[in-house]
Amino acid sequence: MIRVDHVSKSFDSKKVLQGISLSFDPGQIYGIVGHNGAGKTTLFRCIAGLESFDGAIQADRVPLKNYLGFLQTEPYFFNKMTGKEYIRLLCFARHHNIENIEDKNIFDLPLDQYASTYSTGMKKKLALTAILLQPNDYYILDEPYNGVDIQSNIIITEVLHRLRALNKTVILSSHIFSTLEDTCDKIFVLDQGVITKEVNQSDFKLLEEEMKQFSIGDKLDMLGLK
Amino acid sequence: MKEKFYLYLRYQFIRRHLIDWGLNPIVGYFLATVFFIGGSSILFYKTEYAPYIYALLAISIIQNFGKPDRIYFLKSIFTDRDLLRIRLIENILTSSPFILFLFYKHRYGIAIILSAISVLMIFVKSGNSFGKAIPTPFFKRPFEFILGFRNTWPVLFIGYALTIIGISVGNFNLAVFSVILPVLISITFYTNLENEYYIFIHSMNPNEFLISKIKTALSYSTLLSLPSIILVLSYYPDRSFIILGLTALGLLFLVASVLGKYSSYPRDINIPNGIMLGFCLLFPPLLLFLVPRFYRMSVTHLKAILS
Repeated sequence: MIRVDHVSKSFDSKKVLQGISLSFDPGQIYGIVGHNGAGKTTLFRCIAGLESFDGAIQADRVPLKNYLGFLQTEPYFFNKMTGKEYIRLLCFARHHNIENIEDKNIFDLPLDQYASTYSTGMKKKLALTAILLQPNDYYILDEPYNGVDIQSNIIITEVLHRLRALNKTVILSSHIFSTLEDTCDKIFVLDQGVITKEVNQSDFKLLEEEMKQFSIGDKLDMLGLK
Repeated sequence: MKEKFYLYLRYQFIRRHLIDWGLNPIVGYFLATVFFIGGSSILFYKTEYAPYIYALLAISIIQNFGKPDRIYFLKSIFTDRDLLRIRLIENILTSSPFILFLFYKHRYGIAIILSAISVLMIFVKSGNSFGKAIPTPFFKRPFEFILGFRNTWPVLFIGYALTIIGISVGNFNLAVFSVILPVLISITFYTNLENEYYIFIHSMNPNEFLISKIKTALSYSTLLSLPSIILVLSYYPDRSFIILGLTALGLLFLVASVLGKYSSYPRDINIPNGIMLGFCLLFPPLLLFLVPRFYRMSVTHLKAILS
């Protein structure tokens, strides 16, 4: 369980998160949606302990970061580090000995090549593989489907279902609504640093319609497409 | 015109770095000049191999301009001709202080060779861009030595060659230099700060993290030096105190560099600490004060991420 209690975060005068309170239970997958710049990544970084903040974040396993697999929006890779070495580094950092990495290569990545030369989707898959091979109880996945091919999309969705079955706590963001629909138990809508909605699975369709209405409205008419 | 703007941007990057370090740019340029001239003078005073070390240093800096990512980026915005012109200007600007000092020291031959290499290196693209990995013996403990070895393996092998040359011509100084060269190279592996994610992933507190980094640095650096140490010790057993003493000093310097790297994290090592670290080259006992100081500072700065 992770409990976020009245968390606020500002960068200079810009308030990015404003008193956010949320609770994430084990065996559940939570989606966070919002516009670009709504504060999703900042919220994730606060939970991960990569940002200071006002308020409190508690977890049943402490320190939370030692049990957290954090997939960043744009994973960073050193030049001249192979995919295999990246995976080994992440496991080594958690005192987790890993053998036969090739056998666990679910996305068929070229693990002996330098990770910095991978495509965007491959980088995402490598970073995801590495945190899946760590012994984690919590997962924060910032845009896991970003740039990933269709086959891998299917695998990621199945992985998420498997994590839920294993009683892990998963929080993810995605700009592709259907991926959230397929995986999440609950979706939180984040707007300008405030949680404006909490939607259960039964109301996902309604939420999608609402978002469509709100996002598109009559904007397309402005283009005057003929 | 395009190149002028690019070079203006490069100048701005340097200026912004100096400002980030808390230095007035004018003061920064002045200090850089003083340190360059002072460091060069000390190097030439201390060793007869200074011109070669000097030339290698200049080439290794220029070599960085030919990295594939950088070249691809520049190629995407400049024509081939403009790119060559930019590389030529960069190489000449970078190597000219070294070349001028070599002329000042009447080492005309090396100065001319360095000038020629600087020009020819505009055609060189360093590293491979296909992602084919160079094998490394350090794959078990990521990441500094894996990356460092891949970036510097030719220099390491030159070091081993120097050991053999030093022994075969009976030049003890050269042999000793070749023993500490791998340690000096290892120090360069710790000059760049890593992305915070690579610290965040560790389930360690700052003390455990730093100890683990120091252990890796000491064990792998010793491993790199070991072939030269064994050879030189077996040929100069009567001077084992000097050989082992200098190696130990090099390793202490390495520890200070590892800790110095995190002493102001997430910022680069600050100027006063950087100066003190440089001063240790002249007065090594200062390391005994600097290592604990850097350790305390690193623990403080890493607490934010490794609480």
